[in-house]
Amino acid sequence: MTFDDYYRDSEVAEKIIRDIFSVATRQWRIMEICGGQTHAFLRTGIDQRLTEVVKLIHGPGCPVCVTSPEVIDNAISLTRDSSVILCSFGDMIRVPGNHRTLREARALGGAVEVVYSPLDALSFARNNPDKEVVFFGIGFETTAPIVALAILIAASEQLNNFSVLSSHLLVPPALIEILSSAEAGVEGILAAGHVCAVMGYHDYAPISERFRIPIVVTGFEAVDLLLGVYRCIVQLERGESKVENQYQRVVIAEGNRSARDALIEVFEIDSQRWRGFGSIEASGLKIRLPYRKYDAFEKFSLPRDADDKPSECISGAILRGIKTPLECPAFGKKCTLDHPLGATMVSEEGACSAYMYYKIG
Amino acid sequence: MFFTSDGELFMCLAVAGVIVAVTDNHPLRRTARVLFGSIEREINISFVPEAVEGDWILVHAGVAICSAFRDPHDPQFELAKDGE
Repeated sequence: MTFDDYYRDSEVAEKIIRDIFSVATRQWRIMEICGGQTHAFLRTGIDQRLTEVVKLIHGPGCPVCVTSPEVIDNAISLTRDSSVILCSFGDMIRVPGNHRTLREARALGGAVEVVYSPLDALSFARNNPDKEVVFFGIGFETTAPIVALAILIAASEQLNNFSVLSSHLLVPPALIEILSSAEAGVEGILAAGHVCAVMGYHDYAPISERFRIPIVVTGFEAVDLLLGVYRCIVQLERGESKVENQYQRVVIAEGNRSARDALIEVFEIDSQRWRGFGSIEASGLKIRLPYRKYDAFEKFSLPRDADDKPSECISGAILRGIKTPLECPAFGKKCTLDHPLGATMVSEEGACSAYMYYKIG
Repeated sequence: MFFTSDGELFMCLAVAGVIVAVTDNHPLRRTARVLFGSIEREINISFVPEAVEGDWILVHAGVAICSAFRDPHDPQFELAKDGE
């Protein structure tokens, strides 16, 4: 038996679907935050089984999707320097900045290396002492502590040819932005299980209270998603609004203290630009002063602020939950998996790629 | 679900694995061999200082982000069996 076997059991899933239909008296608008959850809903077909009682709204929890085009432009500009090796997560290299992608920059001669972990970028720095190695650090609170760890290790080794182009984002401020605008009409939230595994879920109680909205910390297997939806609907039908934890085999309220300690040692909270949202206050992370020598913005004098350029891609509206990919005129025509116009099609966690894989085929 | 055909993990998801052996106990570089199904990888486990051989951990981008718990008497199972 493996760790998640129970949560992939189809008989258990069918039982919970029956339970959902037995408690729901109407259709509820529920947002799943994480792109991994979006894909899981569509891959398993759960979204289609529940359409009578759940309108799924896809949230902005795909870090690849919401990373600003400007910071991608910064990463690309570094690749023009022959002394730089830029290391990036794989799914970032096909995402367009305002002009081109990192993959295109690589084709033009830039040194771009795909890595699985920021710790692999450290290896590049150790093995290439004559090069400047920059890790393109994107991601939410699940990834930021890992990038912090890389910086702490670099500092402990006094590795001088390593830095991070940091564009990390925090989920709660974006959630507040979506709920405050009320565009998407969200009535319940499935919180991202792995973000909460690191950060805990104390931050969500004030949000739940302020907007009177149930928030259920949810995992990623079929049974996790169904239990998350079920707990959310039970609350909604009772007029309750509180934070619950469905993903108890992984998440505890306090999260992981060691990971959070590393994060707050290296980073401080700052405003951050989000693709599709513009600038959101206190929604990002900036490298703290003691570690500024590892900050690529400082090392290479890169601009931190710039204006968004207009585009026919509607990923912004999709990330805010007010449109679906099917409402985009370019979807499946000009914009496909092979020729993506925007981040939500490029990313393996993006709503547009999910719809292409599981709804169009 | 989480692995590409060449054995690489999908980027954004975290995956549960079991610690086979701790190979380095340096505080920042505490490392273990971790088994994910039939694939074994070297993983940094400095964020789970209490984890030992045989423990389940959740791994993302080469680093364990938390411990994971298997509970045969899962309360969620009871919930699913009996309904609300």
